[in-house]
Amino acid sequence: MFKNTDLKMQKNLVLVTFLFIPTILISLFMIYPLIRLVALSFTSWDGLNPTKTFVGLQNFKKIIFDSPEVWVSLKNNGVYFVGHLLFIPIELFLAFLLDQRVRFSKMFKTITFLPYIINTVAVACMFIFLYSSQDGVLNSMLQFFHMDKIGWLSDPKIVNYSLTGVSIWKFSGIHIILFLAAFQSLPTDMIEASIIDGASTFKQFYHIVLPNIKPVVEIVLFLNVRGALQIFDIPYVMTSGGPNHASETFTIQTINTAFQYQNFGLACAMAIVLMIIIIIFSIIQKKLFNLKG
Amino acid sequence: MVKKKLLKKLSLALVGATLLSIVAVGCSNTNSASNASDKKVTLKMALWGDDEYKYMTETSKIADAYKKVHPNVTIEVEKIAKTEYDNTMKIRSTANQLPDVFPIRQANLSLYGDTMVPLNDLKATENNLYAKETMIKGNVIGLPEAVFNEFVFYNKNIFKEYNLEIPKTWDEFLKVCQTIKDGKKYTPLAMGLKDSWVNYPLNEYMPMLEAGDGQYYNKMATKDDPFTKGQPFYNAYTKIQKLYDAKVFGDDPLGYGWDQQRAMFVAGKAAMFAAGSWYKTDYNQNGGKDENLGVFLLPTRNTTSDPFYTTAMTEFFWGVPKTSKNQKEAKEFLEWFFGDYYTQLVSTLSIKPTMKGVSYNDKFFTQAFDGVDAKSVTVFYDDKYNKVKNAMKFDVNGIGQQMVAGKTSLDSIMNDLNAQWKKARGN
Repeated sequence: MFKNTDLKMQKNLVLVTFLFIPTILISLFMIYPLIRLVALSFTSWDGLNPTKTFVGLQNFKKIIFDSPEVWVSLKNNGVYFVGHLLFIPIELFLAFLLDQRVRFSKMFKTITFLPYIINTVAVACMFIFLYSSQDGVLNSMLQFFHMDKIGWLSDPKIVNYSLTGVSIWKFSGIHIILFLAAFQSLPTDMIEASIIDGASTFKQFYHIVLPNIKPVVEIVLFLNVRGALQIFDIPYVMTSGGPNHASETFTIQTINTAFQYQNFGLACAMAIVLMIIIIIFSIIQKKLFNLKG
Repeated sequence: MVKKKLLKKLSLALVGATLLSIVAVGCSNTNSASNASDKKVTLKMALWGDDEYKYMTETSKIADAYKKVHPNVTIEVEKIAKTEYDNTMKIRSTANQLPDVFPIRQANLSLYGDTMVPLNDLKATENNLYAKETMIKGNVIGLPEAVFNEFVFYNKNIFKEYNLEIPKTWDEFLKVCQTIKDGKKYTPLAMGLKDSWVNYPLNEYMPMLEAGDGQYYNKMATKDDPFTKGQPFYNAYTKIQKLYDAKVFGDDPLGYGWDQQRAMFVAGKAAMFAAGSWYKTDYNQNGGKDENLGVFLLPTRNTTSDPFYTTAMTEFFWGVPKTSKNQKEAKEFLEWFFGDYYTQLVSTLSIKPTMKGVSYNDKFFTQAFDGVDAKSVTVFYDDKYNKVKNAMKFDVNGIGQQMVAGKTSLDSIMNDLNAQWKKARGN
């Protein structure tokens, strides 16, 4: 029918046609900005001046050796990371329950997923009123039980935990749904065989369910690392990083460095540092997760 | 079959005609713009103020008013959200897409030093009371539209209830706060410090009032240790600490923010509210009633024999970017804008004017100046100060939050600031 070269050319033509638009889009919106980001990280650009002075590795040196506030903000990110990490087993358990093991599971699934689809700013505003020291619901409840008020958002020692609570409320729904999808894709014959063999629910979960949903657990763990290190909207709307920078996260620091303190070069370097940290954490997590296997 | 063919031909002809007309219209526009003897110009203008935008596009349409004088110039006004304005302008500047005329916020003025056209030769500059005080690198790069004073708004009924007089010194002010606090009925001073910026009348402006110099921060930038005991900054912060220690902002001021602060004051739950004259509109928009509202200047002096300083903050610095292709027309527009149109604008919007010969008679705010010989100090931050501020991430509002939290002593905060300031200056 066709000559060999014609077929090859046609194949190439189809390939190029199909890949042209995505390649252009990726180059335009990912690769080009990334290259610009890297280039700007070696300058002391203020965000407006037409001249961009090259400063070499000075920005990176400043972040690593001369910016204690950056490391404090990373510690705050750590609170979100640990909080979400500790909640993953609970999310797994809830997903296990929702997998046809409770009545009205469909209704509960919707309720679980609902916080995730609400706009984060709306969630943050809602929790501001919940945590407020003036007529806030939580403090009113404490007072009803003759207990002292708590500075949910005003005590530097508590504020990060309060914000982590909001983050867990908002994002655990998507984790649960991911786990649930993994459970539902499991072949039923394995579970049935284990039941015939007399395996308890815990043994079913530990020896059959868990190994089979490992890829999903890995995705959730990666989402946790990425989400915790990039958290921005909740602390920004609820406390703007306060009181006195106590709840500032790495991303808030980066944005303030760029827009409040007019140092775009340093902010770009911070974005690159964050990217590297996320990659390192993900690799470590992946290695630890696969240690047993 | 024939019908289908006919339809196909007809649609093809239609598409062809549309394309041709688009091309023709496009060509005719460029031709008429470039060939006309009286060059047609479109000046793009952007701003963030809601009231100004409404005035310029509805009450007294600026485009129509200017067209009467310059028929060849079309004005396009664009409003950018207040919160997005600064970043939008930075992004547009990077993309060389700044509008022909736009206002710059004072906080960002030094940043635009190399971006804007000098306006030194304009008559409007000559007639502006503050333009020469706010020069960047020896040039006037923006003409301020408005000037704001800072006030303490108060609830007259609460003052009446406790038989309180308007305070004239800092100690008297503290006493007023304490009396209301002792009554255990109202929050003496609403200050929702969860949003750190709300303390700016205290933490940002009081050092300038203490020094009697609106450019005090610029002077600080020339010293290594401006936070040392005995210096205006330290003295001002000692006074502020006294106020914070008196706990007159409610149980947990770091636990509520600006929105709740406003709600408390309008609802009559708080007796006083420190903010600029701009707050008056906000108060009325939120349902506050004028008959209960009084206003006085924040008394920061020690005794009645000391001078009474108050800050004057200039804002909305109208300028023309160097990237504008219509610089001449844009400068002409500014000359016109700061004439009769400006007089009408400030009178309608009750803005305190910055131009010579433009009268201002706002009875509400005038009451604050009665009985005190207040001297205005014009707030201005120069390039040198901004460099140090940005290098050490100097955040006076954050320090205010730290002082309210009360975990660190004032001396320790000041020593720390001295060390950081010196290092930032060294860099």
